[in-house]
Amino acid sequence: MALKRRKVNETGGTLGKKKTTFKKAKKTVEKVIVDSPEEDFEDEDDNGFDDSEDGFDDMEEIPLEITEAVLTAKKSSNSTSKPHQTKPIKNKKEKFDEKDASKPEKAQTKKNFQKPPTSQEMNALRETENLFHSNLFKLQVEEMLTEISMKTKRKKEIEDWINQLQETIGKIPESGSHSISDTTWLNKLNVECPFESNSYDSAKTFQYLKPQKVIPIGSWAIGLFGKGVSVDILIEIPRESFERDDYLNYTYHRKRALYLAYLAAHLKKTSALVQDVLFESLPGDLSRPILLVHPSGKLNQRVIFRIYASASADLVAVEKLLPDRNCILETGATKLDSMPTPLYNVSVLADMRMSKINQHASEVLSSKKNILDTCFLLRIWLRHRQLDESVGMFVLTQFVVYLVDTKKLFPNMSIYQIVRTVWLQLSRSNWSKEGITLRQQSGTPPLSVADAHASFPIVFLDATSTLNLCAHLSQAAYEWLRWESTLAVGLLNKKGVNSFAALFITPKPFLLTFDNIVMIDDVQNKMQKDKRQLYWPAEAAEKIHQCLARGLGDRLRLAACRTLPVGSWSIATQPPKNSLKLAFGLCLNSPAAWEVMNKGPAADDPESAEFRAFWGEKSELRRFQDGFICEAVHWPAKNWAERRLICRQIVSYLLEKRLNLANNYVYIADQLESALIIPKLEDPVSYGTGEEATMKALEAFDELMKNLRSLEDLPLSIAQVQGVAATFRHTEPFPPLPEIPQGRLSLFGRSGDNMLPAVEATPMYLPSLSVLLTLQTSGKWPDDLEAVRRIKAAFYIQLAEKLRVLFDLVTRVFIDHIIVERKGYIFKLVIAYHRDVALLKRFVEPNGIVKYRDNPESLQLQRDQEITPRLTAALRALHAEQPAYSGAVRLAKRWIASHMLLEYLEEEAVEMIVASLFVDSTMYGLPSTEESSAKSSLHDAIDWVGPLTPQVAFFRFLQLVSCYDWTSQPLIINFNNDLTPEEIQNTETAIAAQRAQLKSPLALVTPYDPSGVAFTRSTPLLPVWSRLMVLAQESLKLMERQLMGSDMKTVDVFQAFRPPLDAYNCVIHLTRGAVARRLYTLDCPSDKKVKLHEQRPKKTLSIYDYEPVDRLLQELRLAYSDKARFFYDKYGGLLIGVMWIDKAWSTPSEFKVSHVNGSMLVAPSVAGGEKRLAPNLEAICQDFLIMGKGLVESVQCGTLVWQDSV
Amino acid sequence: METEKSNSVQGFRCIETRFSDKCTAGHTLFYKEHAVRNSHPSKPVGKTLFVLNVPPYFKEKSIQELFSVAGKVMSVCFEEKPSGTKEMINQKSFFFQNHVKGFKVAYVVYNNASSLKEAMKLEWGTIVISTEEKPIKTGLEKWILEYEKSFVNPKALQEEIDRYMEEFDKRKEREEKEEKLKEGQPDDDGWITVTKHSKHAARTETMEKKVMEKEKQKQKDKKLINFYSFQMRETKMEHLTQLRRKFEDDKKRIATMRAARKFKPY
Repeated sequence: MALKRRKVNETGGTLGKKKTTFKKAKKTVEKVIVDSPEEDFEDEDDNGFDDSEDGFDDMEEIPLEITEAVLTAKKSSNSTSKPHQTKPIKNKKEKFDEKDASKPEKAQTKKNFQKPPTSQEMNALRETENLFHSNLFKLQVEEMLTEISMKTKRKKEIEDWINQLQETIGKIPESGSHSISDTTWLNKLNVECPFESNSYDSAKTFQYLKPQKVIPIGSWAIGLFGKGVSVDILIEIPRESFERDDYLNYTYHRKRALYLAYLAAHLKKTSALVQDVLFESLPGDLSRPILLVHPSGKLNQRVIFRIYASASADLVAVEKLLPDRNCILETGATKLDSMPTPLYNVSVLADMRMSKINQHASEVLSSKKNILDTCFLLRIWLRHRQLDESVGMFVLTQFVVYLVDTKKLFPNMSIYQIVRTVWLQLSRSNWSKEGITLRQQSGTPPLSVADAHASFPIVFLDATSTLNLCAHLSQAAYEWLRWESTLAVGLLNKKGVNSFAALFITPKPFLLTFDNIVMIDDVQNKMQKDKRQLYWPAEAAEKIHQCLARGLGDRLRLAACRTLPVGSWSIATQPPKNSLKLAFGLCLNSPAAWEVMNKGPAADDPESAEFRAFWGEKSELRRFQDGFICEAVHWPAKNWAERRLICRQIVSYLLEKRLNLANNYVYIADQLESALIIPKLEDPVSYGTGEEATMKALEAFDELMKNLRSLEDLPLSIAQVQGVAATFRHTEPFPPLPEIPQGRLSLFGRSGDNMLPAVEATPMYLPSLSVLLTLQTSGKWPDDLEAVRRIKAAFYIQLAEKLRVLFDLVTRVFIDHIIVERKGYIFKLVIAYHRDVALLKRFVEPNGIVKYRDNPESLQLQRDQEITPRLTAALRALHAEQPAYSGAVRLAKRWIASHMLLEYLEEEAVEMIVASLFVDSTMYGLPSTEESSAKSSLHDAIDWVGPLTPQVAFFRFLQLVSCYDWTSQPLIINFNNDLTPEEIQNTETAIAAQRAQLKSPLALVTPYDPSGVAFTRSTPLLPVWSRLMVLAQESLKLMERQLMGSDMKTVDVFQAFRPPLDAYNCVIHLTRGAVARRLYTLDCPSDKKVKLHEQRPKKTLSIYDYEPVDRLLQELRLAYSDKARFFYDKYGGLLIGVMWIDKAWSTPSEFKVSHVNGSMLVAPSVAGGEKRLAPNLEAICQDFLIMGKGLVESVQCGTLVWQDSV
Repeated sequence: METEKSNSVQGFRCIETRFSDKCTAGHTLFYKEHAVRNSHPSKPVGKTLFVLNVPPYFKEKSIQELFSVAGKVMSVCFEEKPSGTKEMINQKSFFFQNHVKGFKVAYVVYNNASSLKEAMKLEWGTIVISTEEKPIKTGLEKWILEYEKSFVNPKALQEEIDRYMEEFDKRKEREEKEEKLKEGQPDDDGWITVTKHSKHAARTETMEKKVMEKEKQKQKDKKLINFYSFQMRETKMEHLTQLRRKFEDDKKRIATMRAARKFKPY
């Protein structure tokens, strides 16, 4: 008994304790949120490119910061999950809280883990295993739902608001009777009618009567309360407002619009309730505008209300609105004018049915919590894919209703199961051929599914089987939705992948999803034959889609159609004209998309006439090598850059010649690639984006390799030759091009056989390409590092001599490498001796044991000798498989460099991050091309291939950089799937354990470097990386706005490549002529063109690796490492940004021998005290001029400017 | 921020310098007598000056000229940091090239101790380093020179290597002989040193590990698995512990994600 009582006490005690810990944890979490750097991201204003000093000042403190982050995370994690499902664990926690808080944590957790399980806990654990994908998935779902759920307080406020609205609307006076064509009375109220048509009969009159009902509909009525959801309110216009034949000739639409306008005018006046009222059009339907209401007061900025007006269900008999009826009767009836008007009919019918449909949905779904939660997730999923404008949550909700009705979903299923079922059913559906219906009664429906297919491309009928819910959906939009569902299921099936983030956290914008995008504006006017139904673009979209699909043929894997949102407009203005814009996203099929030839049917085939008719004058008879003669269309392309644009050629041809849309479209494919061309070349076309230049360098390398292999009677033969320069990986933004003349030869100096640069003429940059030589193994190497160096040097002398004599190559010997010129390329050969690493690691302990331990030098050497060559080989293979890789990585590098940050991280790190997009395109997949496999199983239906164009890959890179959880998760780049899931798991844990010691937030794991830090051991530091993350986010936003925006014809894509200069304390301007990489400068004035010259063998060595700016930077960084940081865009930058290190500049310090460099004496802080030291600003700025004599034009520091006068 | 000219601070004397006539500002050199307890013989106390804040473009020659006003300067050497106890390195070799760059410290050694005393008393005006007659090369001119000098004469290099290797071989041979002599010979306390030439090889880490692993394997082989009921219980518990641990880890991950505001959908 006594024992029992004690136990009770104990639990009582714990309860009290629990509360405090929970509160505490909550506080810490809140603090973390407040302090989290993301907060700053949000506050960034639009350009987002300024202020950055903040990060760089605490460079020294970074490792500490990470530790703190991890610690706080640990603290908060202990007790912040939802109470109901983690109860057992919480109990445990209390226990040890109580016992002794000062005990080491490890011992405590061990005890926790070994407590006997409660049945509840066992259940919870089992449940996650069975019902959910994984623990993590379940936890994430719960976390997401709590994040978006709405407080009861807010719910109450909204309900109050709706009640008040109902009251207000009840008080609006009824208006007088006016002709429906007359708007002067409305204009007096400062409103414009949002709908105009010339079909209606102006003799009819309109009068505002009190609405029949004002009720919430849509998600709010169903019970979907949450952040980011707008509240829909339905206002039913009373039957008395309409006459019997008002459903004809847009009379209903006009009256509805007048009704809304009058309502809007009055709502605008009730400032206690409403802050602003706007008109908005339904996506893909311009005939039925709605009201967008921003509430005032507490709800302002938090909730948006949408007011729909509708007719009562008895407006007209539904049979009259079936799709085969014509409801726009015009007097001068041509044949076209008597055609049925299905889209028009649907627009009237949808309004009549609106309240009933909503009622049904809320009956079926409300109170089924798991299903409602799933709907929430689905909404997030739709919105992230920008599918919500084209498809709409409405259709998806109705589909969920359908699944519940047909007993495919049950309320007791877990969220994971529900969401999976919905996607699976969607992906298996085929609404373009076998539409579905919500009708449950038997008997002949008014409109059968088969009949509906005759009028609409996509069919999903409502419960009465009269209304097609998907009437405005084009085939392309539906296919897109279906494809995304298939992908979603594929993601859930993927083993070892945490799919939650890819499905619900990371956005997947249209721009990033499709390889090429065509934006077409003003489609209806140009495309639609039936001029009576101009308010719906569905027909035009269908036509364009068919034409594109036919013209692109097997170059295309998927075409998706997105209706761009029209946006809202002020109630005092006319609705925007011609505002409907369509965007077609094309997923291409590599390599078929890059073929230069469209082969048609054979010349004598009857189909050839059709082929000729389609392609017009483009089609010609051609004889192929195999003797086959057939119709064919040829698309000229000289290099890779142009071949990537063949689809653009085709689409342009189709749109201009076949669809007559010459000036109405923009093709988004290569806009950014111009950052990779060299505009100053006389013939920039042949250089393209540099792929061919890289190939040429590789050819020269292959020849050199042959030469090296054929060498005989060397002391040790050469076993392996590996190129390790970026050019060999296809990742050099500007591969060396020896054809570019270095400058006028007469200006250069000469010493022996070496050309020398001159002060007057800085030669064009020619980099050397590093090559590693591995020698045959031998036991005769000495056991001493210094001796090995000598032996290697001796070997270099011999090797150089042999190459010179045998192959007539220009060679130079250095103490640690040889320079060989071959075909104008400069190769730098270095011997890799594997035992060097061991010798560096080796040390002898006092007790005589020889030990090998890693140290910075050995790690560096190991990386250069072992990891880099393997990485190079892997990336080369990747490029061979996916040729967009090269362009993408070079764009990424160029972008980072243009923000002057490339020197603050290893280039290989960037290459690996870009490679991750190609090795495993988590979120992006393409429909498989193989017909058979597509049907056999879902898994094979998806090709997880990477992006096909460099531009899209670059966008995805920006997104990855800005969205990935770098500080807590390593990025896995699993080349060839060499790492097993277990290995990955182990690596992840290992890295998580040493996070606190890592200097850089990046961990990039490859099969060649399981440690994950070979290239990110010391760089980039957290401030640099977080700045890059912000820049990536802003650049992506900027480019999306520009490319998908309205005035897309005047896009300046390089805006995201221009760094802001106000962040720098001091700017060093360089003389353009002295910069060796001056050809690559972004937007430089193109005055004189450079002509390429033929390479011919010569005896003198070209000037290589000579970039004065690099040398200046090196000297500056050495001299002022404690005072300033220097930033430079190495691809032709014409200025160096200097940022003072705050610590050195804030207050004068005491005179200390270690702090004296670059400083001067200033007056003591206290009278009579010692003199103090402060940076000698003027002298330092003049030093910049002195040290960069001939290169530096001027130094600008605030308002002070120093010209070149030394 | 006003500079007070040629004054002293903490025993250091100051020299105002300008790079050229056109410069309006320059760095201040600080110098005093070199005084460290265990000074290296190449930097003798009493004859050596210790100069601070030498700008990057200063050459040894400029310093030498500057200070020879007070007497004959024997040598000047640059160091990155003050290092009075280290040797003055003036080795000429392809494999050792120690150019100290950036701001540096200079040691000026006079022939006579009296010159040093003289130097400490000097009154300095503003010194110009790069004059018409003796210009110092900086910027492009300097880099071009560096580029030219980077090329190596293979013959000279070969000769140096040969010399070094000869010496190296000799040294090795000598060491080997000594080791062989030592082998098996007890030292004063009667211990015998084991070398790699002796019968039992020297201990290495890998050897050590191998032995340890063998030992562990032996222990493992002796054990029975899941035999006693307490072992079964333990295995089950282990399984549960792992499940729980994973759960906890997952929760931790979620918490960090939440902290990073990952769950904000829009």
